[in-house]
Amino acid sequence: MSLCERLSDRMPAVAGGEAWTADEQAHLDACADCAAEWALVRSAKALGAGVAADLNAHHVTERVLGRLRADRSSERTRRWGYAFAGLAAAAAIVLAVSGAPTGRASSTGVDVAANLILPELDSLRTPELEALLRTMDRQADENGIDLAPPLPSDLEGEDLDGVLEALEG
Amino acid sequence: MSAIAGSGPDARPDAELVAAYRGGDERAAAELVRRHLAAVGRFLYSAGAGPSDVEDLVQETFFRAFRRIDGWRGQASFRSWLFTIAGNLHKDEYRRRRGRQLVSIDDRDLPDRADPDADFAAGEAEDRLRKGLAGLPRLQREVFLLRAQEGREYDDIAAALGTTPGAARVHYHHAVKKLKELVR
Repeated sequence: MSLCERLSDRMPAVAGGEAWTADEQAHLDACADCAAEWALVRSAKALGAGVAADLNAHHVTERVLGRLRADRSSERTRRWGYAFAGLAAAAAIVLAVSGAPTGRASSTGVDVAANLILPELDSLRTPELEALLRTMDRQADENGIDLAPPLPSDLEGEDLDGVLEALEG
Repeated sequence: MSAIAGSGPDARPDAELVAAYRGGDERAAAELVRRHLAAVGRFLYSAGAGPSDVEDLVQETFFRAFRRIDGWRGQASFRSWLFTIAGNLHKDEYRRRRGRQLVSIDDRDLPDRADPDADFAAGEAEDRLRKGLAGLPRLQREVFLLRAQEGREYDDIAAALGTTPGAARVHYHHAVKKLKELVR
C-alpha cells in the first residue's frame, strides 16, 4: 500500500480527532493530491453541522412516536375489520347450513359451528372474541336472525327423528 | 410523554435499545432518536436536502425505521441502516420534485462567524461541495458520506448498502476523484 493510499485510509479517523504521524504530516505537506483529498474530507466532516445543531430531538421524538402510535391504532382497526368480515362470512355459512333441512342431527347449527375453521379468530384474546360475539348478536338481532342453536322443540319430522336417533345411539 | 422528554442519555448499545423498543419501550426509541438525529440530519443536508426540509425528512426517516424495525438485523450498524433509509427517502423526494436539484444557493448552512468574507468563502466552498455531492451517483455519494463524514469502515458501509467492502472502497475513490474536480 502506497503512502498516498495509507493516508487516504487514515483521513476519516484524523478528521474525527486522531493526529497525523510526523511522516504522514510531511507527506501531506508535499503531496498536492493528498492535500486536496484531505481538504475534501475535512469539508465533508464539517458539512451540515449548523443544520444538525438546529434539529430539536424532543420535537422529532414526540412527532415520530405520535405517528407510530396512530399507525399502530389504525393497523389494529384494520385487523379488527378483517376479523369481523371473516366472522360475518363464517356466521353467514353457519346460518345457511343450519337452516338447510338435512334430517341428520350431526348437521345442526351447533355442530357445524363447532367444526368450522376460523383462522381469523386465532389471534384474538378472550375479551376481543367476546366483544366480537356481542357485535354479532347485535347484528343478528337487528336483522331478525336467530343465532341460538335449535332446541328439540324447534325441530320437526326428519330433523327430530335424527336428533332422537343420535341421543338413543 | 413527559417521562420520555425528561429522561437523560441511556448508555445501552443500539442493539439493546432496538430490542427494548421491539418490546414496547418508547424510551429506547427516544434515546435512539437523540443519539442519531444530528448524523441523519447532516447526511440528508450533505446529500442535497434543503435546510427547511431536513427536519421533516429526519422525522420520516425515524418513523420508517421504527415501523419496520425488524428489518434491522445488525449486519450493518444501526446508524448506517438509518442512512440507507434516509438515502431512499431523499431519492424519493428528488423524484417527487421531478429531478429538480434540491441544493440551492440560498440553502447553505452558513457557519456562524464574525468575519463576513470568511463566511462567504466558507459558504461558497460548502455550496460547491454539496452540489458536487448531489451530482454523484447515489452509491458513490452515500459511500463517500458514510466514510468521510461518519468515519465508517468499508465492511459496515458494504453491509448497509448491500455491496462488498472492495466495491465500497472503489466507489469511495471514484467519489473523491470526481469531487476533487468539481470542488477545485
